[in-house]
Amino acid sequence: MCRAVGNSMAPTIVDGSFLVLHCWLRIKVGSVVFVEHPNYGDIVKRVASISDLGMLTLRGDDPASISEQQIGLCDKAWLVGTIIKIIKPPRG
Amino acid sequence: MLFSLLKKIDRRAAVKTVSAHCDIPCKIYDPISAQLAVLTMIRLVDLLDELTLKDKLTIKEQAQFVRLVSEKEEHGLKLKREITIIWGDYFKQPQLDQFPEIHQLTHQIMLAASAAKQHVDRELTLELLVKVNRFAEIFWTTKGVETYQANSPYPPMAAVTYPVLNKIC
Repeated sequence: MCRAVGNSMAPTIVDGSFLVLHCWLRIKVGSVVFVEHPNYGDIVKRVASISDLGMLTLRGDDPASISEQQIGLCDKAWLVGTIIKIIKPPRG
Repeated sequence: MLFSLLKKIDRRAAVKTVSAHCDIPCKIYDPISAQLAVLTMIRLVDLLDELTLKDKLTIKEQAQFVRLVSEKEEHGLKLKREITIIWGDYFKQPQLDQFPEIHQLTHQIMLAASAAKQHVDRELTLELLVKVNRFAEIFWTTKGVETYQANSPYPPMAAVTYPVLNKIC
């Protein structure tokens, strides 16, 4: 389990949400994943595409997120897990 | 309830954090950059108007003329960028429901900025300022911040909509 900091995945994941990870789940386009990125550190993003060679492109749900181009191609080896449950902070 | 429980657990045994940060620090939006851009355009038009009073321009004055026109163009583009970022990234459904006019206003600002760039016309830049001020007023209202109008404390001394920030607790 981990806690999200920031709103680049809003409205799916808002700042402070707790995330439950599954480390062996098969990923697919649209999955929300936890990645250990060499430049950006531990990030949570959505899988935008998976190439034949197993490289991923990622994007944030919020338009203000860093872009797919900025994140660059991601190696599957950087994957920590897939988000299977999001517990958002109560509203108000 | 589950969230509260997890928060207590997090306090005792810090849960690993994962970044979902944006390209700019989240939630930092302010229409003042756009307002300063249009004030700059008005000031540049004033300086260009001063040059037009002369019968003939020296080489130095010609160089100044080119620079003023170029800066006016650049600030027009900067204004467009600042407005579209706030419109595209900050305004979401709750703000759109509150001010449905924002789409039309943003489009009008784009057209007015183009007109102000194309001509050396003070009236056009002032019309642009009125629209950008309205944009700022809407922006601050969606954040629950009151606004007031005052003349900028520097040339061109034009009316600008400012937030009343000292009322925020």
